[in-house]
Amino acid sequence: MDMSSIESVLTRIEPHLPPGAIVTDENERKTYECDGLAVHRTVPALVIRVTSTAEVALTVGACHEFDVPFVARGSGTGLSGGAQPHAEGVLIVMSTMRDILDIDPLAQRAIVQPGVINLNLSNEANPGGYYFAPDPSSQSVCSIGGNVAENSGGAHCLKYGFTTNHVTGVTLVTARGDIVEIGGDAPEYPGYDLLGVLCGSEGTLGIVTEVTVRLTRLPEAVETLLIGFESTDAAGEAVSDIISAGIMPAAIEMMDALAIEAAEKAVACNYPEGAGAVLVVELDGPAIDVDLERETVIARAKDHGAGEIRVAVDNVERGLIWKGRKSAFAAVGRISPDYIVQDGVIPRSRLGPVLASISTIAEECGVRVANVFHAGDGNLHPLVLFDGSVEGQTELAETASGRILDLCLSEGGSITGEHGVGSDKAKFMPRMFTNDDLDTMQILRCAFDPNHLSNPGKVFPTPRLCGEPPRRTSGEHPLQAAGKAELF
Amino acid sequence: MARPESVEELSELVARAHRESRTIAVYGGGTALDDHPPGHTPGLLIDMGGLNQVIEHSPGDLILVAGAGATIAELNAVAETGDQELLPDFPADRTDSGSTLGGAIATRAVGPRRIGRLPLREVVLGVTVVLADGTIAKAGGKVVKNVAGYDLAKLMTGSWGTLGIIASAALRLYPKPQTQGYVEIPGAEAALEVIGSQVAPAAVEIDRSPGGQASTVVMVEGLEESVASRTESIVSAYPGAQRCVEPSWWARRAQAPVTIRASVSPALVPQLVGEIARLEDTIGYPIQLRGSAMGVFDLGIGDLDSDPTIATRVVLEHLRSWGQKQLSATVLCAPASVWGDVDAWGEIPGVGLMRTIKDQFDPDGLLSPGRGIGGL
Repeated sequence: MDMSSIESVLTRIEPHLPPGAIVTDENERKTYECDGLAVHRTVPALVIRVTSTAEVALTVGACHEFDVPFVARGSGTGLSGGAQPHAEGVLIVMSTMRDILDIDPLAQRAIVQPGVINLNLSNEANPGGYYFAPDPSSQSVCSIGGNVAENSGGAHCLKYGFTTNHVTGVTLVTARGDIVEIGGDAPEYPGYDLLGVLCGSEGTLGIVTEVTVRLTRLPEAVETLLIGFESTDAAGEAVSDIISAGIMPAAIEMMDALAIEAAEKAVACNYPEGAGAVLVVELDGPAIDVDLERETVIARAKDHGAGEIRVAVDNVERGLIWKGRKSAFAAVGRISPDYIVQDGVIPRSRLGPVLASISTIAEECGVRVANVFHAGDGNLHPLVLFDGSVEGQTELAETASGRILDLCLSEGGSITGEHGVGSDKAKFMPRMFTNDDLDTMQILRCAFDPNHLSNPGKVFPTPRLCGEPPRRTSGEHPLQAAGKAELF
Repeated sequence: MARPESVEELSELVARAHRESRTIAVYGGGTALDDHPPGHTPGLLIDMGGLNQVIEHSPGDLILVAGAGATIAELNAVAETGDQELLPDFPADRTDSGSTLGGAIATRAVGPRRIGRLPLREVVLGVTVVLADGTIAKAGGKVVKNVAGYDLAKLMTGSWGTLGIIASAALRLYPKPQTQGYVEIPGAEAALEVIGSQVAPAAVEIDRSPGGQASTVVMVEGLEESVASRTESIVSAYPGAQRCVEPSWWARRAQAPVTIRASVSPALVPQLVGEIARLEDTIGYPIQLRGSAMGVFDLGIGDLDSDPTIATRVVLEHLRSWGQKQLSATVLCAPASVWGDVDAWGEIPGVGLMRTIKDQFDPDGLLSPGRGIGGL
């Protein structure tokens, strides 16, 4: 590998960075070799721990000058390899930029550095009566910069929207190292929705170094229900009925028997024994609404043979219910040596048939699948369990996992609802999009990062050459011939 | 002029115009024709009325997919068969005049319910667009949650037809609320507190006629029992507050020669309202203010008897002195003469990137030339 470019970057930035910012030691670099998707590992050529927008601009500017790829990393909790480093590139560690710069409840805004931990912002905003609505399961460790990059959702995004709905401004360091202010405190700015495309661009359009977020009023009342069902089918039908009753819960989560077993072993969350599925339903809003809605939810659940219905009476009980759900991924580690977390989306109404097909796939591949999902919006997290030490099992699990994604696509769904494409799913993109679709997305990439230096190799299976002349179509015009169009 | 009946026909038309270097303008319902600078006479005008099919309606999934030429009113009627409605709120005056799905998205149309509903950009789940060279591309999908690839649906939302022509789109639906209730509170001072209160309003609008006093109207929606109780709690919390019916101006833009769209940090809303009254006194021109207390207002400048150019310039310059981090003020609607005589856009954050995006998507500048912000 040609390291002279890295040397050039280092020489350029070293005089301007504080001691400790630059990591060259191989063992220390190795600690950054993967994010939350540990199967993909690459040791970065250089690691820079930045503390300011200026340092990011300096580093990225040097990368641009010497044509060196760079990857931004927040807390490294991503599940698609989005922060997987580049072997010949610079890993820019943002977790050292973790100051909350301002909280303004009156304006319903906060300004944060990208390394700020999601939950810390809510904890700081709570005393003023506000919180930051996006709540991925990793919220106690994941960073807001990472949330912006991945457009993170979480259990409550059905009602409150994704990260993109809670960002009103950012400071962006472009792939050339320029600092651009986008948006601000006001709710709307004129022109193209740059914030909309930056959110969820997985670090491929530059690096966000400051974020203005919208804070949400803490609701007057919150009610969390844990409801046991005989089967996922019954639970799924209850979800449909709750939603067609006109209720928009803050969250509706489902876990199947295997996922319940795992969670029980891991965190003793005391879920109903022997249930084939549980629903976690959270209602929030004005107290009177929550009271009325709770009765409807309970009635609809009973219509579908609900067993135990537990209503959390305080924050401790609520916490325990959520602990079972939010620790589900890690919990399956208790019942299986290895597992793959999948993240497919289907139209919610297809839940029953899709779950049946998943269990067929699992049988055919000889693996077990535990299911956890955001049932309100059809986002499935099948956990494919396997033992990597048994020959052939890893391949079987990967096959099962891939077939589940194909299944989601055949139902008109998506290959990822919230974990992102990253390096993990780039190869699946052509199954969901045509070449023209992918090319069009990359036209946007070319506007932001023509040299493909910002997190290259992610999202797209093959990069598009920028500056390519757009494809031209040719041929006779059928519309004019058919008399439907007239030229003037 | 052409009226394609399918995405393929649309693509053929655009590809041909591209080969012939003809500029293209798109006509939906014509309800935003007076907004933004008038385009130059296009080489090809495309009427989207033929692309008005409902492609998919799934009440169980709360989604609706339709051609860009379908009207918002038609789509709401379709949604109503499932006791639902389109999730975002639209301006009633445009909906009544035949505003289309594609037009509403391209112009980022929005109604008063900015608090209780997710904004349009968040509920356009996917789009199919025809690019400047005729390429058909789709982005997003038809499921509520989806982060696969760039969110081009958001890029197209509010692009005024300058990046591609929206052929169809998937939108989220919402259970139709049982009822709505309105409370009027004199003045603008209470607005922020109501937004931050536990009555969870769907909309808080401030309206001030030229020379008059501002008034705040709060809308709550939901179950009948809840709406009754929440409107009551607003009435008892604010002196002078009283229940009212939907005001005649609700979701309708002020009629004035010039409309300025001002977006401001919510914390500065009371200051903005006060400032407009002072400006009106100082420059002697009537200014109508109407909009959401979340911080987006339409300012109607002038009357039919006088040239609004100078007043427009003064208001823009004055507001912009607050700084773009806090406020943005642009001309939304004005007579042709005014566009040339005032700085209609001001400083647009990220405009350099926007120009690059435009150049990449439409290098020959054929799509809706002059209709986008800042001349894009």
